[in-house]
Amino acid sequence: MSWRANVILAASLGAVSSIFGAGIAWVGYWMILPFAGLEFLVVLICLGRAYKKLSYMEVLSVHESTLLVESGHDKPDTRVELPRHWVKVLFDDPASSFDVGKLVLQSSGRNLEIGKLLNKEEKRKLHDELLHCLNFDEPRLRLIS
Amino acid sequence: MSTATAEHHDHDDHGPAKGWTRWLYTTNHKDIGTLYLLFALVMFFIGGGMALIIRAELFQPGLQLVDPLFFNSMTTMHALVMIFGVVMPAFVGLANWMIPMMIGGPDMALPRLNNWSFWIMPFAFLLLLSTLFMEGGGPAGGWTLYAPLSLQGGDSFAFVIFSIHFMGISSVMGSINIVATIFNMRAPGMTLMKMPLFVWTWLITAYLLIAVIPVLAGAVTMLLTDRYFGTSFFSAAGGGDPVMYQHIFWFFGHPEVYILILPAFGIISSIIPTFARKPLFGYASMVYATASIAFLSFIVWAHHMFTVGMPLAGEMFFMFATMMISVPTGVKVFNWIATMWRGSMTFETPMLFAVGFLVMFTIGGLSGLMLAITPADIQYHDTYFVVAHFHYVLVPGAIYSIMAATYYWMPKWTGNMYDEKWGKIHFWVSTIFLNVLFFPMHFVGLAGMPRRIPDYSLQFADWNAVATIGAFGFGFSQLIFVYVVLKCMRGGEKATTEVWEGAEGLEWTVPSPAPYHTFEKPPVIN
Repeated sequence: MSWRANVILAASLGAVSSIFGAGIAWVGYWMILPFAGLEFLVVLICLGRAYKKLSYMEVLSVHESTLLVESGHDKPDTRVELPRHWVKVLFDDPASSFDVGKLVLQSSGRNLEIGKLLNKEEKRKLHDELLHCLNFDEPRLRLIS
Repeated sequence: MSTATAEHHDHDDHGPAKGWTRWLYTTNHKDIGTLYLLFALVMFFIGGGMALIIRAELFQPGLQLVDPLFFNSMTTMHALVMIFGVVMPAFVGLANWMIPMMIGGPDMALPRLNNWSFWIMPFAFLLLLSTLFMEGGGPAGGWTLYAPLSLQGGDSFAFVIFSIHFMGISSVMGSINIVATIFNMRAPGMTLMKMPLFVWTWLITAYLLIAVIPVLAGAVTMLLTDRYFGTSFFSAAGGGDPVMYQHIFWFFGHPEVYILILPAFGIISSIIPTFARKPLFGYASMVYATASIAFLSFIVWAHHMFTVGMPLAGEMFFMFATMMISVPTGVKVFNWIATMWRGSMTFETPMLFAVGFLVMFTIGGLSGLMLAITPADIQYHDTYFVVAHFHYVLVPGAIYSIMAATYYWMPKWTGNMYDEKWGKIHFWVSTIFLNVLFFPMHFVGLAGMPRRIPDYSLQFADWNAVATIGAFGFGFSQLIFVYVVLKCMRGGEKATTEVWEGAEGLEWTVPSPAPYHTFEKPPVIN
């Protein structure tokens, strides 16, 4: 769903309680209105967050001599090219259940975190697949997350 | 230079974290669904225990076991626990388990929020139940917390209000998550009118919840400020209006009634076609009927308070608006019967509970129609007839649908078939005792026995004794349910992917038990 559709959805959700809250506030019982407003804000933030996360994409393409990382919302608008044979793929794989860990591409002193939206298992799997791919000559990987 | 798309394997090999932290930190919709369902089961026995205290006291006239204040606390707490601690969490648990699988999504849209919305619940109920041990006892003014009665209770009042706020926060967070999931996580090709009825009914329920929870929050906060901060929103002495509290409360309360039953309609709409081996009759009309019921729920609130003395025009409006609800509800009942008509029906436990729902929910609906008629309601108001009515709607309605859903989807959750023989015994024993428990309440209600009293006139003694026997029978028969669930969780005959011969829907395309992660690659929707 587009962002506009999400805003319309949030407005339709907040409308009933806001209208009733406003009506009741008119006769002096005003305390429903702040809760309705607060809820509308929470709905908007939650839908915004869901939209942002769901529309974010990251495309990793392994080419003969480069590893291309493209990312952006709805369509990739940021491109980072790394030299394929000089890339290290690092995953800290933390023991804590709270921590999903960081998956980082390291090259020429530069760190690039990838797979920010993945959970720990998915990061581990992407780490393994990338290592496997980078160590073989045949380019075979295009991952979209 | 070339690029190829890598195989994207299902992560079946990646299971959950080990140990208790799995349940504390989990963001997996299946884990959170399980937590909600187990929480609801525990609360079901706590709320049921309170009901048994009430019925034990009412076994015969006079005061036997508990003092009147504690009795009133039990009626209040029983309702709060059953509504907010059993039916709502159980439906949210089912939504968590089933909605992502039904729409072909990998998880809920906001998994961390999902974790939070569950873990608020145990604290909210700990706070609520702890008020029973505070000075002055727990809340005793009824679950509606009518002012000024509720303001005259003990010092636990503030804790009750805070626990209600926590429950509201949890419900709103859960509802936002469900709406965000349904609108943003559907697999390509899963259009709104292809969604299973359970998803539709939950979408509409979530809308209702988001619309009315601020109303409840505002109402109870005004009670709080009246009690502790010197305001007079509902105090006539200070220029406020106690009747206004009833209007505000029931503007929340009546949609809440549908929040407790709409997901049940979705469950029954999933089960009946499976065991009738026919597609659901009138899918589109079911969707529109659900939406109509939701809309009407906003304009009927005052039928709960016909006796407060409202203008005749108001009484007429609310009477006819209430009676109108029987039209979309009738459409639903007709469609379920039409689905069964000439179907190749079999009566496994989920279907038994679904048919039990259909018959007994209709009884509750018919007594609801009687209560909708203003002059009649003025006679029935605050009698056991009302108690019989809403228990026929909520127990064979909401609770039976939850049990039907559990039996229906349990093989998909656990990978094991449940014990059919004990499932059927559970249904029949429950159904017999349920009617022994609640049907006599119609008689004593029509004869004039008031609700929420620990003592009563001798003329009501016989049917009250019968109802109490029914209550204990119904209560203890739920141990069979626990036995069947535990046995199924531990093992049994392995369930197939489809589980039921006539089952249709995406959830039946994943293996049994459903893998920890499902639909990481969107499924193909025909």
